[in-house]
Amino acid sequence: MVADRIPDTKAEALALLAAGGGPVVSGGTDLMVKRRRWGGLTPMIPDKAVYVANIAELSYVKKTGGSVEIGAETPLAVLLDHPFTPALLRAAIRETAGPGIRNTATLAGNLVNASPAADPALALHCLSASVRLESARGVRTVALSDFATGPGRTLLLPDELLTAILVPADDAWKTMFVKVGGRKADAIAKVSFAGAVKLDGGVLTAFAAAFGAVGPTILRSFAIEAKVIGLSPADVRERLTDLSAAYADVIRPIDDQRSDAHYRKTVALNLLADFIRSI
Amino acid sequence: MARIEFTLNREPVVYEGDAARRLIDVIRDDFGLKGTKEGCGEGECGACSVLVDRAVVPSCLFPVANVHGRHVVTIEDFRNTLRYRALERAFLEEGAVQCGFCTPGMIIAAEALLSKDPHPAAEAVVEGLAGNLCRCTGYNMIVRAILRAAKDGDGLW
Amino acid sequence: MTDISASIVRRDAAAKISGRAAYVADLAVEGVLHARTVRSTIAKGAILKVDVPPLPEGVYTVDHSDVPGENGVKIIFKDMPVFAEREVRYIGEPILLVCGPDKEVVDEIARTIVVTYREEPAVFAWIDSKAHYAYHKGDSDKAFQNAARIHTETFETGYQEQAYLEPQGMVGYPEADGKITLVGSMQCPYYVKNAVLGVLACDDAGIRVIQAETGGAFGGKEEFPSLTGAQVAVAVRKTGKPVSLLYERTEDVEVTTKRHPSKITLSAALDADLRVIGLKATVGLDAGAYLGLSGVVLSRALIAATGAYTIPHLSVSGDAYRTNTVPTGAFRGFGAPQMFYAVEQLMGHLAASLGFDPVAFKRRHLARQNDETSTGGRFRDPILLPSMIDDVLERSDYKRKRRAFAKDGAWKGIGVSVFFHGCGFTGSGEATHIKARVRLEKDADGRVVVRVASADMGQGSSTALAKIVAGVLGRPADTVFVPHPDTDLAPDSGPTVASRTTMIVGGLLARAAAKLKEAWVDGVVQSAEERYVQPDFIRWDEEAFHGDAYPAYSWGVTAVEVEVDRRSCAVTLKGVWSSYDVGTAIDELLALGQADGGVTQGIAYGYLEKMEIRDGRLRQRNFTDYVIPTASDVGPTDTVFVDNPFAYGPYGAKGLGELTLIGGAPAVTAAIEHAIGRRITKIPATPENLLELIEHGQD
Repeated sequence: MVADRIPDTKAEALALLAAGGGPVVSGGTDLMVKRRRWGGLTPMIPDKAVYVANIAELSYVKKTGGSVEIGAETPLAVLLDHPFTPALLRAAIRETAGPGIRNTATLAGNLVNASPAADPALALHCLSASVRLESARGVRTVALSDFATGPGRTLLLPDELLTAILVPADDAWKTMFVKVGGRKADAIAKVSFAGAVKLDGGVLTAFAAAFGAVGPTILRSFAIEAKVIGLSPADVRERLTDLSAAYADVIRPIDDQRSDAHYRKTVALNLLADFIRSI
Repeated sequence: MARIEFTLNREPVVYEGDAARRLIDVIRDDFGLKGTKEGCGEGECGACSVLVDRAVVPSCLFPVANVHGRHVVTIEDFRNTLRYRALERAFLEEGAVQCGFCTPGMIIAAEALLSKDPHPAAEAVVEGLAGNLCRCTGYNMIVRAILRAAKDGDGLW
Repeated sequence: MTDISASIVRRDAAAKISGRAAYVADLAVEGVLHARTVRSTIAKGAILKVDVPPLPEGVYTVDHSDVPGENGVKIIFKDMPVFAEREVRYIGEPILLVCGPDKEVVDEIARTIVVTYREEPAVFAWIDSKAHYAYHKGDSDKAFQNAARIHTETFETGYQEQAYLEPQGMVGYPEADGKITLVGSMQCPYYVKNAVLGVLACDDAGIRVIQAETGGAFGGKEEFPSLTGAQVAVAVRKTGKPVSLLYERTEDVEVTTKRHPSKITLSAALDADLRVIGLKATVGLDAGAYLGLSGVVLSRALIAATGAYTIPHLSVSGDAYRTNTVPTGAFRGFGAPQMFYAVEQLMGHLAASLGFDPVAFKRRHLARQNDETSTGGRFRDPILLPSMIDDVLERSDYKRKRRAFAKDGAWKGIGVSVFFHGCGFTGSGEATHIKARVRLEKDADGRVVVRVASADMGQGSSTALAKIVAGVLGRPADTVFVPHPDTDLAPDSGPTVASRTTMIVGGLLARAAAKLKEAWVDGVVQSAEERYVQPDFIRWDEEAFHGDAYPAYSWGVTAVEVEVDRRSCAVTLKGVWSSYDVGTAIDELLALGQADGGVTQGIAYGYLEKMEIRDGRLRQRNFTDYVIPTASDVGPTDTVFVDNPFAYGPYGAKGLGELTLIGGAPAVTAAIEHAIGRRITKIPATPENLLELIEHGQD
């Protein structure tokens, strides 16, 4: 370890966390803003924080079997250019903040921050990704759909480190990512949508629709998605009204300083319709 | 208290202090490098842009812990390069500077952009500036300046 | 293009690009105390007590009781206290400063101070008018009685934040002789000085104000630095030490002045030829908790009631209302953007309801040379609007697009605005209030220093003024220097506001330079001074709002093309075409910079920048939530400056800085209306508002 709180291996990081260290600071792009103080005073991040952005072994992208595994500390900018990055995730990252933040921010930070408006997280949700959580006690894998429990809240335990993201390869998928922000770049989503569909023999063998910034967490309805599997694209398009109505029941956005509930819901359903028409 | 070793403007330096401090404060207050500006303190405006291992980052939300073992370049060092000269000339000739508060950050963003893509299309320049706000110029003159620097400084990047 | 317009390299650019330019936060001041402001957390109430914890050695609080003179910041009146004393009137109102050498300690103390209030019902409705003006022209009652048609609409505009990239900042320190020096980010050093004189109750030699490099202002650093300057001066007086008061973005957005929200009701009376012959205008502005400059902003709005058109019968009135919200103030355009938005929309809506193309309808009403102005003055100089409109229509391919977009079903639109800006202070303000003086100082080597109070806050005035002086002297521009103003060295040439710097200050400098040239002797130290003399033709009755409101008018035409996304109502700018008459452009590149930046701000005011207040608290308080354009949001711009020299301006120059903003909002809203087929009466026309219009709006 080169500095007390800046491990350069995963094992060192896990040991620090096991000994009561934390929180984990990754790229810092969310945490440093949330905890900032007046006058350039040091942000309210405890001395026992563990800085993991420098752990080289957590920065990688590889293909394993049918999925892509992404080291949790890989900067978004690296993923933007990497050939193995799933297309939907790449599309989301392209619309995330600006180049500077993308050079710093990581998927781990984006997922643990658990903002319902996060762009990479939305793509990963849609792709049914899972996360690997490691601690000195062992390793577990959690589906992303279960991981975030509310804004800023996840299943991550204090001694755990999010080490990898596992994404089923999306080569055969047809995808769409649309972010509607307050402006064309460097914006936080007012509402966002990611859709993915797989066709085989003229019918849908997989269908995923994920909505951002319309509730406390990113929204996916497996119940509604299940109704679409096995249908032909024409059948799905025909049921657009029913599908929209079904999603309208579960999309419950709020009014805030960036947009209002009516707009968010209307646009979310417009984006869904656009996706379904494009299948 | 952390001890963090990094390279700042080609000099090895040691920082001893809180690991959570913002890189911008270390640069400006500890090392007296005032060319890096704070415009918003939340990574929106890019006035605080510096290079870390040649990539542009907003130093206002970069914990100093994360520069451990890395190379930080600020405008104070970059301005000694031929690439800077090319950018400077283009910014002067295209009228890309008004109040100037965003300008060092724009230059750093331009350097990062051109070092990845030495012959960018206009759209690529616009995308490369997505994290740098300017309130004076409306951007078009800055975009033209960067395209001109790429052309006139052909071979530098 | 005339010779003077040929661009030279900006004087300040190299230092700014390299990071060497020193803004106020970059100044190293030995032994400085860092100041943090403790502010009201309620919108209205009485201060019952302020509990300050025991202060460590060397840490101070500074409040109203430390003000040696009058606890009021002179802007026009002294209605705004330096520090709240018995009552608070808006969330964020300053109560005291905590000053100390260690920021950690200052922060701790500031957060532990407890202010106890007796809260009172806050007023957010527009009922408490603190400034009311009205004027009439012709016989509007008769015009309305005989009207073939009457059309009435109400328009609303929102807040706009200046969003200069450099937040506000002021540093002060005591000099050996007891004088206090202030260095800060500002537009108007003498405004700061004059405010501090009354607050410190000191004489002219007691206070010196120096402008630091200033990272953008747009009006936001016109009157606000008088408040921070006064606070810092009081703190320096009390502590005897240097004091630094630097705002961060959130604090800056929350407590500094912004553009006035407005509500404007316009009634037009048309004659049988479908010409607007009468107009009634009622204007309301939200002044916030203190009047500040709001009365002057209101008066500029009212004078612009007819837009760029000649309407013979007028009845115009307006009020600036006090509410328990953050004070509004100067912002590029100064009341005109609100009024031009409303008038241009009114004309567009009238055209639509009468079956005219909007530009054709506007053309029927254009002001012409020698026409009477809204206030009964005269447009003495040539007005080139017809040819400027032709040019903009041609370059933007307006006529084809106007027809084609309507047919092809995509949500595309194009709109055109026509506008002016009255250059300089209203009426005889230059002669009665400002009385500008300028001085040129020549050393033995023939180098000339320009001594003026004009601040270059990015607009390029130091370059423009140097060019004017060098041009008249017939000497190289690099032998003329325009330092940042310092009240100990520069005479009061007035504030850097109202698009007056090039035209008025530049004009005085041109005369001073001519004097200096005539007296020029090589190798000798010489100087030349000039002071403002009002041209004979200006007649203005301030009480009656009658006469020549401005010595000159700059004119503009802007076309904007947009595409609106059907799924999200998000607006994409496809192109911006403008033509401006600023007399003579003193430097083409500087002028283009003003044009591009101004129109971008103006367009964003119309569709993008949203700031709301709820129960006295701003909902958008930082750059994440208050969204200004990025490079990805602006469209391509195509700008032409027509040459129309003004006899009284240096090299024929008129005002430039504000004009370019004014046409943005009406042009972009007209384009959006064309795209979505709905009528817009409220800006910003955000996607949320457009969705509502599409669902429930009027064609």
